[in-house]
Amino acid sequence: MRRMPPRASGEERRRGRPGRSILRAAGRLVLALLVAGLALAGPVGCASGSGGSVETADAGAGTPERSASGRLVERGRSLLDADRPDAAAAVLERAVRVDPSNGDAYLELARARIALGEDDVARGLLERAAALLRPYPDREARVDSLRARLGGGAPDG
Amino acid sequence: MSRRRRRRGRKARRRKARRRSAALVLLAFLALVLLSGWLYVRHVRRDVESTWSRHTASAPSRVFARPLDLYPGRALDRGALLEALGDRGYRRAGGSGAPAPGEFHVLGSRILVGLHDFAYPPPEGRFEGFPLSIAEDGGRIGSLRDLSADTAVYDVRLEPVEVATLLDRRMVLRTPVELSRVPAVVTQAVLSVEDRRFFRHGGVDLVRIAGAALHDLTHGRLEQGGSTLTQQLVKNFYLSPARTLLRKVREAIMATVLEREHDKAEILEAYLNEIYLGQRGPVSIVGVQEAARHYFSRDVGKLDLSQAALLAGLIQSPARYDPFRHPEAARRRRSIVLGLMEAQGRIGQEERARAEREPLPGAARERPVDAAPYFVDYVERELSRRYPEEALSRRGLRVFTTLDPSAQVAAREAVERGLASLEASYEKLRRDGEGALQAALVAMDPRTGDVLALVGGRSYGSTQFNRAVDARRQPGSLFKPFVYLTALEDTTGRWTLGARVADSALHVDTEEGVWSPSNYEGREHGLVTLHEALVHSYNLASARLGMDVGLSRVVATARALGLGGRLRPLPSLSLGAFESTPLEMASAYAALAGGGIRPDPLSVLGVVGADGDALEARPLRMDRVAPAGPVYLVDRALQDVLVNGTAARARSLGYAGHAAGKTGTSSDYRDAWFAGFTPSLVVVVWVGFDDNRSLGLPGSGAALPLWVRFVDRYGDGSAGRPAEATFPAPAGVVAVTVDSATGRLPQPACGPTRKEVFLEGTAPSSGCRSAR
Repeated sequence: MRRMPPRASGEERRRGRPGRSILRAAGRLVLALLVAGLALAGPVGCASGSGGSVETADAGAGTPERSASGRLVERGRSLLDADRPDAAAAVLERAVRVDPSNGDAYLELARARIALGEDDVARGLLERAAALLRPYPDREARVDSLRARLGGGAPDG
Repeated sequence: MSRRRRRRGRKARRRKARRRSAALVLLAFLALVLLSGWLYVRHVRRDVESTWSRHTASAPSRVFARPLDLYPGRALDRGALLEALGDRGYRRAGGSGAPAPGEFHVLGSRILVGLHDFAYPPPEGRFEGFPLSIAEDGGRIGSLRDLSADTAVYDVRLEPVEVATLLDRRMVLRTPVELSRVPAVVTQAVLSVEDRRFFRHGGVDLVRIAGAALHDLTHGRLEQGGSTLTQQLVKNFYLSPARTLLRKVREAIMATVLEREHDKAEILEAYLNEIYLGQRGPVSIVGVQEAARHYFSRDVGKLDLSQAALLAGLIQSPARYDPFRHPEAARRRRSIVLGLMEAQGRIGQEERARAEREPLPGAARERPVDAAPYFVDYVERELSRRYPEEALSRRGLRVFTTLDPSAQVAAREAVERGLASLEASYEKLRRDGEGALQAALVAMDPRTGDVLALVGGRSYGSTQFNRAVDARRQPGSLFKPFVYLTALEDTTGRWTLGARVADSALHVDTEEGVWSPSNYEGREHGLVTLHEALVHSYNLASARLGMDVGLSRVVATARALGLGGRLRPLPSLSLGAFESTPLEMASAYAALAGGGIRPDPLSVLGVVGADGDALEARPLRMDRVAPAGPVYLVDRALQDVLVNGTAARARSLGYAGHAAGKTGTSSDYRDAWFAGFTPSLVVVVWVGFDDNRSLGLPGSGAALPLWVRFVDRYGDGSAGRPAEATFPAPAGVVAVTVDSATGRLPQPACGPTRKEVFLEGTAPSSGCRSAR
């Protein structure tokens, strides 16, 4: 008598023949592992600090405005060194207006305002200087030391 | 006999008494005449003195825009440079050598300019002009050269444009100048033609009067005047122009008094500063300094012989001898003056011949007298807190401002043409007269607070109401960024741009009843990220967010950013239901553009008195009003407003930059706003009707087109920079790619992604599927 092969379960029927089923099962396993791995591994995108797509560079560096403003900053420094803060402040305000992204101009202007006894005005200027001089750690440190001298709020990065 | 003698004696006594009485009456009369004369002369003297000091000190105040810095590499093409020179009254002249002050030549790619002298505020002081060569190189300044010293120059300024003269009711343009600064050639020319015996008479020249009378008698008509300079001065200072004998007598008395009280040099100086020399529109040109600027674009100290003779010739009749309108008459008159100077031995024959060959001045480009009327009104108001009106119109103050003339031109054009275009497109917006559609525009540099341009309406001639400064209107969604900033400042890290809030129906019980806001398009959007809610300006999500973070905190944020008015912690606050002005809004947005540092808005930089002393200088002031990180997050979301949000239409209007911005529309479409900014420029535009009628258009439809027109002409500082680089990131910010819909990390089958910015430590850690 011929025996009928055991009736395949629905699952088996979908899988088809045993040889193919093993291959498919292996493939699914790999895919599942990949997906699980991705889900557990964290973000697809890259979390990046100050580098990557988050811009921190000094946009005004190397421009004609920066050069012109830089010359005025030098003149302002000389006037400060010559103990003429009033004249220095006028030249440095001009330096700021020629290139308002020049952090050095705000820094030196703040020094002039401190020399004129206008500490409140200097504090605000140092805030701007700090924001603009982030790409230049040496000068940022000068800003921080002046801010510390003046006292007041903590630096806002 | 005795009776007759007695009668005769009585008669003689009576006659004697009568004679005594007559003598007494005569004596009394004489005393009265003398007393009256003394009193009259005393009165005249007092009158002369008070008017003298008032007149000689009187001069209008002048308002200046910012100067134009020139340095190698600066982007400034030839057209813009020639425009700038024209704005400052420089005239194009022929020749190839060093140009005279106030003139320029164009030689190939070089423009040679005879720079004016200019008195900057102390401590800078006086700038001495020199001939400057400006080499143009591909739309930029290639190099600068001082032609007198033959040296390279690395920075120099074109003096500021005078944008307004604050006149009193007399409408007189006048700049007093000391006699020592008037060259001899000018005084010689004036004396030759007006009063050759000036130094030899005492106010009234009897010799000249006799000569003039003889001349008139022999010619049978009144031709020659016998007035001295002193009499002319008296006439200008004190008397009406009526020609009566009594006035002549009074003039002679006053001239004599004046000569007794003042020396010749003082009288000559007053005359040169007071003489009427022409007309510029409705304004009188008075004094040689103002006339030298008007006719020759230079200071009186720089005039040569031919110019001095032309000026002196104008005194008799400025209209008849106007060199711009009647050049031939002016040339003939100049010859007469030069002839008199030669005849009186003041110049030689050769000098005269050379001066006669000089060309007459060409008319300078007509400069608009009302280029920035609303800005000037604002400046006047700023000054009126400290200076009385009389000081502004008569004390010759020099007011230095932040106005950028090219920004102002762009602003004015944007408003005029933008409104005209709206009216052409929408018939319902067309209304005439005072009910016409209006707009205001404020442009500010957020790094300094300088107000670069300000337009308070479409036509100052029609209405002087300054909407940029005085119109308190509902800002609508223009306020929303302050709500989101408050949320992102929350240090618990609960709120990020990827956090979600429900954009669903909202009913809040208030004192006025139930408040139920709705979205612009009338539908709800379910759970949305803060990024999406801000970019698409969802009202329901924003109102919920405001209440969630705390309305008092939102008020505090807005106040810190400089918004005034009645800000109350009501639910409708988040949707901009209070009132504000365009200038206030520009100032608050300056804090967003400046990374949380807000500068004090500045329009006046300083004021200098007539004597050259600084009366005040207003320094650059700024304060941190919000932490840099959260402000950066708001800025990045607002950049998306012009790409995917409510102002995405900017692209189709022609805008190609990477500005951030926000639209605003108030209830019933009464106000349309757009505030757009980059780190170097904030521009706020308002459009609406003065009577609060509905526009029927949102901010993107009515205000955004004006903004695009403005930045298209003026620029916005973002050109050539990638979007990510436009706003530099502060420390402590990370960029993470997230699932757009949920703000969480992308996972397969979630949907589109975008780069989002987070404060460090607040980036999402779970995948998008966990939020679905």
